[in-house]
Amino acid sequence: MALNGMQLLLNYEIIPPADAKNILRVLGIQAATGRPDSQLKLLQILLQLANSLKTSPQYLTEPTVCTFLQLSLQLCDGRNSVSVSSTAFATARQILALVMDGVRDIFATDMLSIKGDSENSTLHLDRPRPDEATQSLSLSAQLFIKDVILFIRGFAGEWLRGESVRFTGQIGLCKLC
Amino acid sequence: MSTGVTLSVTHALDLVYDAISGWKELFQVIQPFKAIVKDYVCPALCPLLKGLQADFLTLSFKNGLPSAAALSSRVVRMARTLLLDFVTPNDMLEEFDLIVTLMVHVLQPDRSWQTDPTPTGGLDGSIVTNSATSSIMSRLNAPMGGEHVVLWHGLIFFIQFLSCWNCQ
Repeated sequence: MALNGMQLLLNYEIIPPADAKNILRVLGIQAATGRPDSQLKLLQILLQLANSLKTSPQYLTEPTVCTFLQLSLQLCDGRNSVSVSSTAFATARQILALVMDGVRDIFATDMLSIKGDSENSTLHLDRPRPDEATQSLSLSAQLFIKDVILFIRGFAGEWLRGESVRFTGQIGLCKLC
Repeated sequence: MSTGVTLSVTHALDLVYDAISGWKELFQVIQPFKAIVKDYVCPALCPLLKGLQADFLTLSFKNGLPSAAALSSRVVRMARTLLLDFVTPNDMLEEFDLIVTLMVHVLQPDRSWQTDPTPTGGLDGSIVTNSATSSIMSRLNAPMGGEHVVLWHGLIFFIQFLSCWNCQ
């Protein structure tokens, strides 16, 4: 019921973006309960919250993005039911898309000018960007991809703390994907 | 709060593929993202390609063909995407040479499992599975099994790669 209330508040855009950290903390506690209905509701709220922060990227800081991805990936493993796992994976994909879209928007004009200049040119991030939020979004995307590569190689993530399982079965999940 | 992140290789490959194929212009143009492809994605893909056949057989015994086919097809798809979208005159030619070589080798039947020295089936033996693998397929009751998925991916990849090469 509390989660439903939270979802309603998000629907009506009453919650200020600055409270995202507190909401994520509460969702993290709820994720550990292990009840599939709560976890599914939690994933819905997570995605809604991420979408609501799209318009105010200054709140999509690196730790916030990390918590978003950590929460969704945490529910993708074999310990949860298939419906929760597949929803969690879809949520992780959506959040990744949101972050990558943000990064593309930041560099959109630069990329166009570079493509016009020369095919082999590359853009360096060394020069100062308009604000810290854009840097943070780009850094989050890079750190996430590096961590996923670490998972593929069988190592533990550095940014998303935890351990990886190499070649786990999850046949049901594989079929769904 | 967090109990740690656990992610299967199949899911991890899906996420990287999503990012690279969906926002390829970022990975082609922006230097830090280009570096990720060169320093992280390519070195991670090579061991997966090297062990593709062995992993396929191990996984098919352990978890069944869907699981094995899911991983193998994703590895080949990832390699194909890298070769088709990132083969431009750049500083990653060494990595791509290695990936091409691995692809050529890995898409041949695994001879180490062959008990009968005579190749079975086709004219050159390159598409048809060997006897050991065929017996696994029949035992698992999979007439259109995962290895065929991988071989089809490979075939499509080579056609695309050759047409791309001719265009350049």
